[in-house]
Amino acid sequence: MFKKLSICMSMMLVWSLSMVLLLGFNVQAKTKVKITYWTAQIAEELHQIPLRMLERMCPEIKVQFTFIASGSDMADKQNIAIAAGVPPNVVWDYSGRVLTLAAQGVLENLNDLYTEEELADFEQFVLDQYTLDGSLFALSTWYAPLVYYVNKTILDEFGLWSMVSENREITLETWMQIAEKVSAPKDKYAIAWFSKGYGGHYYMLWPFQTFGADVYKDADYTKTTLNCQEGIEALEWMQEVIDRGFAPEGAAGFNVRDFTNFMMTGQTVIWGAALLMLNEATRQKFVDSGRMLKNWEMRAIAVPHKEGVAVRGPFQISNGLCVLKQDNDEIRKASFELIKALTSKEMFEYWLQNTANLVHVKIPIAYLSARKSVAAIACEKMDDLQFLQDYVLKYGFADLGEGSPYYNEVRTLQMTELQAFFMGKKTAKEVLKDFEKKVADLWK
Amino acid sequence: MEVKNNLTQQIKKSWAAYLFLLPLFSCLLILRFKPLVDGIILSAYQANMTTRTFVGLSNFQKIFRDPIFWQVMQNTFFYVLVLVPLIVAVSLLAAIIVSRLRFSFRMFFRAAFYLPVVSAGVVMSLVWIWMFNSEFGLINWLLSQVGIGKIYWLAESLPARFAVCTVQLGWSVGISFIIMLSALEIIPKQFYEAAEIDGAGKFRIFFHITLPLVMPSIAFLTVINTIARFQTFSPIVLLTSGGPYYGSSSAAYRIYEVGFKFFRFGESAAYGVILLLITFPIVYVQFRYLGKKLEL
Repeated sequence: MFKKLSICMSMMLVWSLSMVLLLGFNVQAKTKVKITYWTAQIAEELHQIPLRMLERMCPEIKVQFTFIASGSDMADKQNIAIAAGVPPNVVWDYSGRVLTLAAQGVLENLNDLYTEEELADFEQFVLDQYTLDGSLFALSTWYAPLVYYVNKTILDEFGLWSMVSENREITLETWMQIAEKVSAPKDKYAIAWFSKGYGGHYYMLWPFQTFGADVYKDADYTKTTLNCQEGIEALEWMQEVIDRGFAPEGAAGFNVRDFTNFMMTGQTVIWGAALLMLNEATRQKFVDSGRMLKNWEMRAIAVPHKEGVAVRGPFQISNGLCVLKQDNDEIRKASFELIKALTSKEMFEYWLQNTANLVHVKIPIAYLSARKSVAAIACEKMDDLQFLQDYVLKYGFADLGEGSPYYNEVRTLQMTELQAFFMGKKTAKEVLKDFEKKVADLWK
Repeated sequence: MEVKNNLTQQIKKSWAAYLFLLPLFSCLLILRFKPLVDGIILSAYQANMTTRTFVGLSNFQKIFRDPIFWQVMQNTFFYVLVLVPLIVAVSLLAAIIVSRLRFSFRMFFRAAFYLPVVSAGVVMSLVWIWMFNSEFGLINWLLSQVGIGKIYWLAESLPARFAVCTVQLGWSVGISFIIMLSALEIIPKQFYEAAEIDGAGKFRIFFHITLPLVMPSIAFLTVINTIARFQTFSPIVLLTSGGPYYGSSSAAYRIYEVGFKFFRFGESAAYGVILLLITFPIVYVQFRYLGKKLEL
């Protein structure tokens, strides 16, 4: 009897405890709103940094991060998820895609999220980049000027670094002299052109800047201004660079990954990048993993300018935080709260302080802050950072066209037409004429 | 009336069978037929992610006027006409050779041929991209050892199509090989013995015994590979992105590009309808002709 009673009592105790625990968890789970957050994997560690701050600033939000392998994969997966009706809640995505999504009507506008005073602290071009028809759809924490990098180690071997070091704003003529000298031994090239896929297409636009052809004028995205005499000269010059052996043939088959790999294997000495170059420790990690052949030193230079042509500032890119349209009010509200926290001044400062010592191979070491009141992070190559800031201050930014709702399609068309040119299927004049027509057709 | 009575009687007799088929048929209806009908309807609209406007046949007119469509269809037929005979021939040849080996070797080759089918396509494609690289790729290096100059595999249209065919062949031959090998293994040995006794040589044995007896498998593989090759997609996404200058793009890739990159879902659906209208009669004729001849 006693035995039966004790078994019953034990079972009741276990059952009660289970119910209390379950209820307890349930209550706890109910207080946290789960937000799905997608971003490209290059930013994985970057997003780990603000987590501690987020727990303090948004204790009722639980963020589920999903890191997608690359920017192009990000676009594909995101588009499919949205089309299938299962979009993520918050996305940190490349500026060029944000307004395309906004034009599709899948993003929440952020007009009511920030006060005028708060927005006044952000750089105007950052706000413009994420505004469509008067509505703000995303905000960025940083931006990066698109400049070129030279392999200083190899240039030193050729005794050419002094041609660049005194004035990073080199002329086209100086660039050609450097290209001729480094290509002379026939075991390397000055640069590589590429035109496969749309990734990194901005690196293929710098010759147009050098010769004085802009992609757009006065933010009129219905008409490209590349189709001009300067644009034709730029394209023909790119072919000349290949014909003279300064760039490898087969540009129609190379993509931005090949562009990077040429640099990593020392086959080219000039490369494009959006961010300040890897620090010593990161480069060594690349070398140890076999990704980079040697621990070369890379330094930033401006896009070369042709004598007599007005110097253009660099293009710039950034990633913006945006909220995808949701049916659930609670999730929408929490998503807004999350991006408000991530774009707050407090978070900016915390984040910048904590990226200083990152050595992960995928993490860039410095950004230029999108907020006027928060300075950029200190980094190993302070003179590079200083050069970038001065360069941007002097010339401003060139318009890449990210404000166009057809940005993705336009850049695909750009690269496809470039392919036709490098294959010899079309002349420079035909390529630019067709490109101009195709851009205009998008708006019909 | 008689026909109706016969049908009713048949259903009454086999109601259990129809009941067992009902879940599968429901899945087919929901997962196959409904999307097909939805796609056909969508092709008459100009549609993005949130809005749609009825435009009738305007999408089709736009597609037929677009030179890219003709290039893409040319490429698609290229893949069908090159890959289908190649897959069938390679799998048959490999199966004939492997069928003569000892059991343990047959098992090994069965696994080896099937491995690409179950391997991650993305990983394999990344390897192939490196191999086809014109500057430091393995293929160009091997060709240079026998005196052949650099080929810009992914920078010219025809080489890019051959690169796509090579990767697709590696993926597709595995299943075909397994089917062919099974077909060869069930041919009674007495037929070969009788032929040898009658003095038939290897070629006569192949053409008069082996080939006729594996013809049903060949017919089956021809039909399914034709359908699959009209939908060639993965190697193009991973290797060439449809380039250079649409030189390797296929109808399936164009459907994806127009729909999921440019958000023109109506036009993308129209491409799908056109592909269906081209593929269906071809496969129907194949099936009817080959099916009749070989009692499929």
